[in-house]
Amino acid sequence: MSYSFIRPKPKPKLDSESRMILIFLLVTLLLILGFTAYIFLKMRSMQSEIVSMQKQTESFRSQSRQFRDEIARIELLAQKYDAISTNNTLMKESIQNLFDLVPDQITLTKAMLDRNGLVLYGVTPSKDVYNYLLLAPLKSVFQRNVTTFYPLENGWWRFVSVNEGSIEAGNEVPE
Amino acid sequence: MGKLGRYFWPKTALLFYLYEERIYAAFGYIEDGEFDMQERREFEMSKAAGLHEWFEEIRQTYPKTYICAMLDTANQGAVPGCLKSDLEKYGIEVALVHRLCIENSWTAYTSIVEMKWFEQKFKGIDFDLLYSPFVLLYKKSLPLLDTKPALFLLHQNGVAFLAIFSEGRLWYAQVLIIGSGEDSDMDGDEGEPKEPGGLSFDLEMIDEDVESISDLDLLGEFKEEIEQKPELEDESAFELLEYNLNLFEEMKGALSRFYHDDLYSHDFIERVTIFDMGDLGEDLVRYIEDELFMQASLYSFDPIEVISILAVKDLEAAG
Repeated sequence: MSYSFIRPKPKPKLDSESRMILIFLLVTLLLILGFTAYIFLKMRSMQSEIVSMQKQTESFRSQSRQFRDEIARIELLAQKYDAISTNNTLMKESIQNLFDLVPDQITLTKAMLDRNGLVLYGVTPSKDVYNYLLLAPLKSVFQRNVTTFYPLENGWWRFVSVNEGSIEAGNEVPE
Repeated sequence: MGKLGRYFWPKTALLFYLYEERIYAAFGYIEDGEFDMQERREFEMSKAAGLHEWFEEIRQTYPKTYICAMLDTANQGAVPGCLKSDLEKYGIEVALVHRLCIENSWTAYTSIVEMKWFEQKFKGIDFDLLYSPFVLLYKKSLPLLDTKPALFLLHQNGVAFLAIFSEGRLWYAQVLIIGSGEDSDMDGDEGEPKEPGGLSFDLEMIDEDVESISDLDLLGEFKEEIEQKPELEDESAFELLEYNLNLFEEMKGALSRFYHDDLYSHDFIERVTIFDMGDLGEDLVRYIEDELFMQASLYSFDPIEVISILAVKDLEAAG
């Protein structure tokens, strides 16, 4: 029950200064909350980024390993290439030398050069021509020389010369 | 939260009333169902800006400050009953008054125009609570009420609010306009009968000139006192005496109306209690006791004290 003719009017709870302070505090609180939220989100983002980067690092490591292996393989291939190239050069030179060794009087019909040695098939007018003009240089190159002669009808000799020994040409580089 | 709110945003009230062209104001906190008064100030009515400044100063610090005042306009009153028909029974135009039902028993009312005028007089101050002097009188009289009807009078300078209460119920109420000696003369000249008569005591002679008091046998005792006290020779003392007589006459007229008007409940009034906001003195008590053969008592009345009690209740009820 009221004793007054009129009813009390609603009052503002805050004066202007308190309102300003409260607004300031609210703004500060909002900023702090916003900053905290930003930091939290950033942290989460960074954590996921770290995980992603770890994966990436792992991937890079794996790639690096692959690249290293590839490099090693390529290096090996290069070495092999070099070796083959060198060997080929040497072989070319050896073959060139070999063909240079063969005198005009002797005709080669077949030549087999492998890592074990050199097998020559050919025709010589005489054994002496072979022995003096071809065997002598072959002996200087190979350790063992075995030559088999087969007489031909026209008086010439078919020969098979198997030469084994330390000739370097044709050695393969293992992969 | 409540304690925190009370600590940071206290509920405060600025209470004031007008008396003799002066504003008496008080400021305090409303805490734990009580008004804790902090400061009292007085302002000249002509310099009401002082009150405005004080109010602004308080409001800046305490935004939850309520303004409470006693409505001291003349066109107000109180009647038994709370219904519209009850007011109409006493010839009150319901459309023109603002009314308030008290304790579901009686109604205090005031002229809407005068209430607006009062609010306009303090333009810039938003009133929260406006109290009728009859409500203040009722609140102050409550501890003194018993089964027998008693007359209670709240005296302000120039005006008195008279009410007859019985067992917490209002039987009769009237606003008494008390004229000065000159006013009484004028009234006498106009020749209007101021009371319907009918009281067992005929004090008509006192209505005439105050100088004639000394000639009346009925006031022999006062005559003796006047002779004994040289200070009464002072003009102000005569004015007070004259004023008391006028108040006495008004009260007598009101009593007469109460006794003779069939609209009101009747019973013999044996006790008069006067609450005085000014300085009436004991003479009036003696008049009443000697002339009306009623038991009379006089108490000083501080409206701030009663307004504070009512304001606390009203603000608690309003939340």
